[in-house]
Amino acid sequence: MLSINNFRLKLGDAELLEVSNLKINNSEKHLILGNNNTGKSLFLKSIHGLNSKFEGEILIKEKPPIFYKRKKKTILIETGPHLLWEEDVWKNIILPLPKVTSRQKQKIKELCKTAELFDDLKTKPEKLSYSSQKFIELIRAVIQLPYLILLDDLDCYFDEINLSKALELCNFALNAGTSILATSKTGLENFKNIYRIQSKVLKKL
Amino acid sequence: MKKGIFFQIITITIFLIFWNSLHFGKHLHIRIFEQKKIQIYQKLSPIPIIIFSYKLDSLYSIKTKLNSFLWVDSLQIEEQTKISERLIAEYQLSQSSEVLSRYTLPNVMKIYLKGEFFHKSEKDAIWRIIKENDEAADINYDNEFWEKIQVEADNVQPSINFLNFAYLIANGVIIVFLIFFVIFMRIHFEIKRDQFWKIFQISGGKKNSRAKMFFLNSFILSIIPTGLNFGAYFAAIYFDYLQIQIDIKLFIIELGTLMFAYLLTSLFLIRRFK
Repeated sequence: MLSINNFRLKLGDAELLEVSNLKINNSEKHLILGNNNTGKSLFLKSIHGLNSKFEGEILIKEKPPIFYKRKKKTILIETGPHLLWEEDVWKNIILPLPKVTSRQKQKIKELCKTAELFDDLKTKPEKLSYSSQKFIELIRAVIQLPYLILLDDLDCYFDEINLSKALELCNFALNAGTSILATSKTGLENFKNIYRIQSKVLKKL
Repeated sequence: MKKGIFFQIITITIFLIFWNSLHFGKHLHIRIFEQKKIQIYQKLSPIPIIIFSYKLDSLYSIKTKLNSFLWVDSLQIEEQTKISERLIAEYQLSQSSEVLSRYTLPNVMKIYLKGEFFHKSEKDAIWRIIKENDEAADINYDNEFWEKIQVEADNVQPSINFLNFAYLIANGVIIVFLIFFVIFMRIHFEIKRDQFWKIFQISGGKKNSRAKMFFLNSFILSIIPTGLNFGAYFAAIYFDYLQIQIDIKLFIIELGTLMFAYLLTSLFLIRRFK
């Protein structure tokens, strides 16, 4: 599903990150560990198509990210919340959906129950905690069943309990073939494929 | 419906009402001037053209030809025998009837006209017909008065011309103003939606949705205000609340102006659609 070869990320003249080879198949979840300023976020942005200043090859379903410029097949969840503050939780979740089918409605409600957001569907997100806001973004991402969900700094917005709920939400998309690539500063359970950025090189643990 | 769209519909509808009132105002004033012209021309109606001719057949031939013209109101022929009888009866000339019988009186034809239609070309036509049928016929008509009326009526025409000119200028100004107004209003509301579309795209929404929504809203913002104006006009005509009818093409021009303005707006916003 995702194939990265000879990837080199530079910041000015200095090399930031090197990924010689990374492959993610359908329904797999991978975790990249790294400290601040190691290029994790820029790496995810490169996969998402927001950064093109890199060397090497990124292929999503055998096509470069530029192919998906108009019709995104990846969803990037960054550290900062991206929500419509004047709209309620429900509107924020269904925002990108052209039509909400009854099946999707049902599924969203189920996911909201998992995230303990069911009673807050009519609430404006500003009244919710940061992790709840991130749950909204996560539900909004998984309900679309994209090829790939990119989660930046996953450890920043979920504690252990919420993280297990978040991964439960992710399972819905994983079961449908979506892959997940997350970054974190600390190691997280439930990820089998874990990489660490060491000496500016991505290495599998 | 979003508040912004609703506000724009109301604003543009009011603008179009103002524009349409200009069309009605123009038609009303033109009608007043035309009525004034007709009233002037109608002063010609009671004054007949009197033809004296000894050839009765010619007069009947002229009558037949003139009967078909719209601008001829009525025609009367008085034969010479009846004229002498009438003169004898009116002036009690029974004793002089023998004297009168020695003179040959001409036949008389009176042509009453519809003044509002009796212009130069019609006058020339009537003279030509008379002379074609009887070269010697004597035509008695107050030409001086006719010319005076023509001049008086022509004096109204500059007012109509000025009104038409002012109407054209006013339409031009309104079109330019409407285009600017619509462009600025649209851009203002689109900029207000920037944050929404940013979040929409980040959340995985389709990239071309904004452009699609813009053109859909443009269609709504063109059709609804024009449709409301046309519907109100049509209803007013249908239920006889309005006597003045304006050209339907004017509504198409209004629709076209709005669509053109939205097309221009899209050029200003094209970077936001990418």
